[in-house]
Amino acid sequence: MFYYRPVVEYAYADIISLRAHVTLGLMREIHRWGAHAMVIAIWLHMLRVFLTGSYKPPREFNWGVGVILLVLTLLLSFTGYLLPWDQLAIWAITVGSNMARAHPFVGHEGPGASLLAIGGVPLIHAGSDARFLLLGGTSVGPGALMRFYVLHCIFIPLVASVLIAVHFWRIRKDGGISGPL
Amino acid sequence: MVTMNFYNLLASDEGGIASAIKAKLNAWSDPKYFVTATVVLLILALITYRRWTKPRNAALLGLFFLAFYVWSATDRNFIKIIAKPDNVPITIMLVATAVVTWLAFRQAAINDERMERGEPLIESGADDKVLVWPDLVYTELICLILCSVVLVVWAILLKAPLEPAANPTNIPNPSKAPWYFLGLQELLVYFDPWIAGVLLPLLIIQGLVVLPYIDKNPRGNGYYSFKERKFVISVFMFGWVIMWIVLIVLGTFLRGPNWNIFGPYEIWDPHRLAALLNVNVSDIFWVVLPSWLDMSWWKPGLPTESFMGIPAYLIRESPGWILLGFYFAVLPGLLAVTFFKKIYKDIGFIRYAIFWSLMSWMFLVPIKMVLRWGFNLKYFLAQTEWFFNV
Repeated sequence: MFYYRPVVEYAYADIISLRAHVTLGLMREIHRWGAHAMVIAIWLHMLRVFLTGSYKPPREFNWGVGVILLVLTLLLSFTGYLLPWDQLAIWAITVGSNMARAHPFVGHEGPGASLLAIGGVPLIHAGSDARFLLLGGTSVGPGALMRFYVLHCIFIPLVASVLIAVHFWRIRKDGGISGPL
Repeated sequence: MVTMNFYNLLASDEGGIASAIKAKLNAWSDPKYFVTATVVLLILALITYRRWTKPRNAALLGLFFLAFYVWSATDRNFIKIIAKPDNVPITIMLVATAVVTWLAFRQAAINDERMERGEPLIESGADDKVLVWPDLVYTELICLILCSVVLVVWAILLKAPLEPAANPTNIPNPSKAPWYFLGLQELLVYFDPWIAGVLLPLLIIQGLVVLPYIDKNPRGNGYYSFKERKFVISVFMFGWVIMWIVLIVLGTFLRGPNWNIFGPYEIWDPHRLAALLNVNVSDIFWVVLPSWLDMSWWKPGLPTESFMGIPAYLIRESPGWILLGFYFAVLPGLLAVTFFKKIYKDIGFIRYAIFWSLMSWMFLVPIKMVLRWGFNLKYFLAQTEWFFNV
């Protein structure tokens, strides 16, 4: 975060110089593999919680919190995927964020979007739909890089840390980690 | 000469038995066989969960899978896919998922046998209270150190990928989402983007959240057991193993350029043509069926005139509306009074309605996939006029 600038001109070059100038640097590797490992770990965590029936009352609320945390983890990984600004990044995010323009009503290619019009002027078009909100543009460009950076480093971590605190607190309140009740 | 034959036997690149096996496996990795086979295997695994989870049997299965995987990795096309740095986690996920699933079902088998004999559960012994400090914190510290070691070793062995700088004019073929979303990307082949990319993911999240409120079975709370929760676990394992893991494998290992299906040992040839002529249910009903029946009063052709105020496009799609109406509304009702009578009685109307609206969508996905692979079905219902294609 100190050496990386989330603008199209510098992002890729900063990653390159991180690789070139840091002797025996492993932070980027650990960050990337740790992110993948996190995705795998929470899936398996969910599998274990399901198979031990630990979503049943009184733990049903904490299961719901866990599902939201699962989604947030995937979103964290997804937003981080764009930041190196290489070919892998922009095309994976292009494929993923294309879903937003197919969203019913608020995506300009989604069903019902054409119904939202005032006097024949469409309210939802490529420059005003859900994908535009996500990317800050009509394609994965400078706006998307900045938005994903803020989402990745500030917004999602904030929400996730609050929910993680709730998650751990509820474990204690609901009778401890999945044991028979 | 002996060494030569031995080499031919093992080397998977060319010649000998190896290439014959590979040609067979390439042919079988057509999803209609591959996914069907995994479904059959899952059902078998659930039925025989007490036998295959015995440590010796599980170890043999695991060794067989690892040997097969390592042998596959000697193939130059397969290694190209799995050695991509961002695909390495998939291999780790497959192994980790297999181990965790085995561990869970092993403990479920032991618990089920104990309950049959009237003995206490494995988890019952864990009642003895231990202190957070030092017992828990000590364990956590060890886990923290072990995880750090694994990550550092992984990071030393494998560099994080960095491709050429982003170039909006150079579109890679195939363009793939991050690996954990490849199951969802696969759905785009079969459904319109608003269903595959918005509705189905939201239904997955919704289904997970409402799960504790629908599953009113009070047994099996907080310990491994399969016998006490057979139905719920079977449905969940179908969703998790087939609709998530198998589709990720399909999307990563078998989807190549132009999103065509390639065998795991095949070259990704971007010029390979896949002639596809997908047909809708309405085409089958109005064109294929009459020309096949060859009757004088029913000429093949889509309806073009409205009838009694019903527009022609609705008449055209009426077979699809009836089919889906039956599937989404009538079938759950029929099941409620026959096959799922007990479940319906236990959980009541509202829970049952939510439960089946989720189940209907979950099973519509594999049903449509099979019909696409087997019969080139495009849409059950192609109401393009209303932006409603299913």
